[in-house]
Amino acid sequence: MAIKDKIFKAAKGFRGRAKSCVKIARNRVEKAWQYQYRDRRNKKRDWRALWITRINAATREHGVRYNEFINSLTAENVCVDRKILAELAVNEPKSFKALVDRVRYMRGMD
Amino acid sequence: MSRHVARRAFSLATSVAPARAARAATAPSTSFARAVAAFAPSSSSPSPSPPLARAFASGLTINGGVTPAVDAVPESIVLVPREEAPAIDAERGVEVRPKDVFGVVEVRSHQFKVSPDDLIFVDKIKDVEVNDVVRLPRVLMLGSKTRTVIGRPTVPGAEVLALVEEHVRDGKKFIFKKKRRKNYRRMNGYRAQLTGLRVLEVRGIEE
Repeated sequence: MAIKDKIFKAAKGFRGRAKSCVKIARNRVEKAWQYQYRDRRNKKRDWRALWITRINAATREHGVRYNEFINSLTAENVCVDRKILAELAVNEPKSFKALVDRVRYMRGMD
Repeated sequence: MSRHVARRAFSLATSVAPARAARAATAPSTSFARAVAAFAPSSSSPSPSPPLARAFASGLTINGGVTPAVDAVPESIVLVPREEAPAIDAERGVEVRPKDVFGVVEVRSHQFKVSPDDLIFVDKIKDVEVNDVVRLPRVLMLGSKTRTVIGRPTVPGAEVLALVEEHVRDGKKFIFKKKRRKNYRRMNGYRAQLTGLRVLEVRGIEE
């Protein structure tokens, strides 16, 4: 495949002449690749922020804040990470509640 | 390939403990119990005679041996009795089997919430071939319909059995670096080596 064809293949869906004219497309495609490099690192941060938001919302339903929740989990040596905690909060609410109840007990809230 | 589910791997499994043979003898109802029964060295009970229904698109079957991928799915599909028939999720159009048990397993610093039948992708495991069963010993949490087991940090004695389904390379990622107006441009490609593990069983909690 010629280099020009590779550029156009990578430029599918771009706006305006960036998908059809070689000079403009190459610039935008290179920018896209640079963004991909940067955003592979950002993606990890974004996901973590989302998980924290979800865990915060889920624990507050049970009267516990995110910081208290994480503090107690680390004190208990529970190593479940935020990705799994967020998934439990969404898909396994009873198991998540079991964790929150444990935290409430250890903090003397009950 | 969606990487959101995936990654990282584990130790070789030795033979399944003889205690499992007792479980194999009691007519298991789920296909997973049948799959585990196939691995159990059943000295007292006869080996399960009906061929196992489980076959994957890659051409593998649980009871060992590789069938041609073309023939694998059609000949190995066995009609599941109505009481076991998985629910069909009309919106998504895929079969959704109710998951009775889940475990949170940590594999090389990545954690997965797995149930039987799940496919996870981990970094390539060395010295493991397709169709080997692998034991993942670091289980952080277990859950079923009626109880939750929280490990601190692990649940002692719990483990997850997984079948090595494939060794595969990830999709290509481009590493492109450029400094403008400095005549500097670098382009590299990278494909990670992965192992696909099909979770067979989550041990340590009753269903």
